[in-house]
Amino acid sequence: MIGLWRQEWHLFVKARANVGLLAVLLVLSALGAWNGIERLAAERSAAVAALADDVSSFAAKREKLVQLEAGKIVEGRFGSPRKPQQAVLSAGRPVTPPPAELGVLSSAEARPTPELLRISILTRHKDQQPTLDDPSNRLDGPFDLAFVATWLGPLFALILGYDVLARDREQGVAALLASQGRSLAAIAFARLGVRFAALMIVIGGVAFGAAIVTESGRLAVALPAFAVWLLALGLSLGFWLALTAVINGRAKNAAAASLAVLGVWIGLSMFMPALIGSVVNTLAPPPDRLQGVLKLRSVESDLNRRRREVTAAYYSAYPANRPIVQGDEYEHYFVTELYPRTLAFDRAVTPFAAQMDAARVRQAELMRAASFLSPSLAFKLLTEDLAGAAPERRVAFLTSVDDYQARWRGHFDHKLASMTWLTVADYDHKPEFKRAAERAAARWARISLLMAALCAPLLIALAGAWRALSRAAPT
Amino acid sequence: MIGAVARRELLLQFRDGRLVLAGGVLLAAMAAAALAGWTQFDRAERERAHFVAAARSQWLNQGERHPHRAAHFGAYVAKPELSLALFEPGLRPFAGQTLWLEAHDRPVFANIPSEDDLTLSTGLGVASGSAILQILGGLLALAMGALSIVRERETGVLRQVLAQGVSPRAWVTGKFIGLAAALAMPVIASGLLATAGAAIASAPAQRFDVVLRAAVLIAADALLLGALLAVGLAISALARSSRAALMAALAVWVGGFVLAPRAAATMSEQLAPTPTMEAYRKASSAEFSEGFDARGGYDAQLKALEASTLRQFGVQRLEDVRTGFSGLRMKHMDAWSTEVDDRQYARLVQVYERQSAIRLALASAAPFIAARSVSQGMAGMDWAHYRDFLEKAEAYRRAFGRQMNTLLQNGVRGDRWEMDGDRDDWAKVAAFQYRMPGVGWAITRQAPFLLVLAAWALAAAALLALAATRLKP
Repeated sequence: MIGLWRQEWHLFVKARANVGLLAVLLVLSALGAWNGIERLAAERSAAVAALADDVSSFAAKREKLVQLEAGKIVEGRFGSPRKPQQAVLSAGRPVTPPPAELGVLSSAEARPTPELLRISILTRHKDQQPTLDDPSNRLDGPFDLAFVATWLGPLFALILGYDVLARDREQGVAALLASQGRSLAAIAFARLGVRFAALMIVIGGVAFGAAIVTESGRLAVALPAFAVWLLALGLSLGFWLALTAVINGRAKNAAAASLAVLGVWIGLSMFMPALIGSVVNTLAPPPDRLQGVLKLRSVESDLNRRRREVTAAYYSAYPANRPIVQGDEYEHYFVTELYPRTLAFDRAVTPFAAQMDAARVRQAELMRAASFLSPSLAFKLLTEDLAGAAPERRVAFLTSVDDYQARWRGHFDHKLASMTWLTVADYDHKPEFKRAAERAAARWARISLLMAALCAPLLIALAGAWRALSRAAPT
Repeated sequence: MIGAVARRELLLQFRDGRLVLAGGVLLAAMAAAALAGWTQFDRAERERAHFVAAARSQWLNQGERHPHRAAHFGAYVAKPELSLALFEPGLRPFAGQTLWLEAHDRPVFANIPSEDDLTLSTGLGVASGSAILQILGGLLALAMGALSIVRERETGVLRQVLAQGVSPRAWVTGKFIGLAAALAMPVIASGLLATAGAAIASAPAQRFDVVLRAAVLIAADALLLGALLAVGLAISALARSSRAALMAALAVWVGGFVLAPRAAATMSEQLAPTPTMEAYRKASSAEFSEGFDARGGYDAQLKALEASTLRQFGVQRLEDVRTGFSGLRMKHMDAWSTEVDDRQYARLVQVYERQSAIRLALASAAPFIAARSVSQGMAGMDWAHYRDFLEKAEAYRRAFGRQMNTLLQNGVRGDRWEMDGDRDDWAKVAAFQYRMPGVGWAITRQAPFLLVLAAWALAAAALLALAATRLKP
């Protein structure tokens, strides 16, 4: 058996067309990896720069406060380090989610989790994260490793495997092959196994290189995730090659085989995800952003109309926070009106925002369940999950963000609301954001479901391949 | 002769169950997509109309507040769609649905559907009628062409035909016409379906424009499919076996329909990167504070404004001027930020144009990019239409900002700031009305891509003619 595999490998690499195809795939994988590496580097450097800016900005404010208290400088109208309404009210502190294990794999068209948020005392629910990009550039999705492995990998598998027996039949040498002491099934499996190995080496090798480049500092986290992804890649490619085996077992000629495998690819990779998307969209409609905008504005208008009442209610609930320093009318507005309204706004809007996040999660859950019908979809969802594009990651991140904002507000609440001057100790003991990773059990339950969605069609295809090839006739 | 060959080819296509099946699947898929598109369009338009009315009502009923804070509360607008969007939703999944028109800043599209709707970004983008016609119709055209001649060669028919003295060019032309007629059936059916659906769903005033746009859209798709059919036939004429012909056709399809669009998008972003929102605002803010072209920044200008206002009113202190200086100051600030913003936006537009030029360059290698751009343009769902909406909304924002500043200027005296406007004041701001440009405008914007398609059709015809002269039995 090993001899047969060795011989088939030798024949495979001797064919210039096969090597050419693998070279093309290698170049495409490398391009996908390069894009992932570049995106991740840009994202991380933006986060590092924002964090550094934040540190230096607070250090500068603290230093200014020290000088002010020592009487070395005079306070200006704006930029005071001791007036909380100027120093901290709208100072956005950068927060980032825990990095995904394999962010380099996917630059997903839509990434629900913001990779950098700025959290201040003011509400975060009005941040729209707008972008200036021409959406034409997002329409087709990025050229990343997820694209290469999900859509191109199977196509290359089909091109390499569609005629492993059909060609011999067409050329009339299948009977000769069958008379050499090896069954056609064994020969076909050896040929497909060789192709499987070649594809895994090319795509897996490039992905491994990309993961090493981007995650060199935390390989202990990245490598297990990479092993899972590699296994998923194997299941996906295995399915498509097993499918070519089924078709090779029956097809009379190579052209018919190629049309059949192409038809199946179109059905499972193009139509089925579109159909699943349509059904899921009906069963679990996405959160309605337009309604969301109206809701936010309606709450805002209502609070504006009741602004005096809201302010009075706040200071009556927290009498110790009544302003002791009366600033001018401009400054006073930001404390006595805007701050109580911000708190009331968040109380009214947070449940609605949570509903919107729950709708996103519900859609993702249904997509995962439906991905049993399309291995391409299952593999894409799994890759994107490992790359950090699952909506559950957003929920986990925003939960920790809300917790942090509550602590940040709590730290400055009394001094801001009462317009009391800040001290150096307020700066020194300000709360810091702690990243909280998603619960591992929930995370791996999602991945396991997607792995099962890849295993099931593979097993069916393998059974079909075994049956078709064991009955395959030389003519 | 050509007619006889064409009729025979058409007959063969109808007798070939696989191609009839493929055509049927294509039609069924397009019909299903069009139906889903209709539902989505109808829902989107109802939601948009509700949103626009509710947003207007919220503006009117925001309560009493300072005019500048009202300007910050701002107005929300959403881009309307032409009914052809039911067949070609274009950039809808990836473009923001709304613009928030508020004080100081040019609006940016926000609330992108794909950020909330996972189903929009998990497939390969074949969910609309137009995409199915172009992508799967393209594959069908290539496969039909690629198998057509080589099979005649493999079965020995070609040898017999040529032995009878038939001109290879006439024979190939006849085959092309026959295949094109077979392919035209799903194209015409889908064209009629799309046009009828769009005309029914359209507002009466837009109906004629929509029909003209649909005609251009279908003509562009016909050019694409015709060119691909000719390429497929040329491959078939030159290939040694049907296996080789199919592989070559498949390579053209994968390259042109799967790889090239992503490569074009990636290259556009790599070679002409769009600035991030943060960088754009930082650059605007720097020019605002520091000035440009030897003009001082805002602080210097404010001092000059204060001095000229004191001179104008013949007083020593701003508190004594007989107008609301706060309003004047806001007007001046907005006028200055408008100048700064126009410069920044012009730079941004240059980036968009460079990106479009890169896509155009790649479209010359992959006509699908050109055909899709034309169909998006005709459906009013391309970036040019989105930008037109944005620019008109920006003009409206500036006008209503001036109105709020005038209200402030007239409502206070001296350097005072606090005052409240009420519903009557808000009602004086007219609602935003948007009129979508006509088909002529859309064709002008898509002219380069239409030319690329025409060039592709001509080049494919020339390639087919050349392949016909080299036809060997």
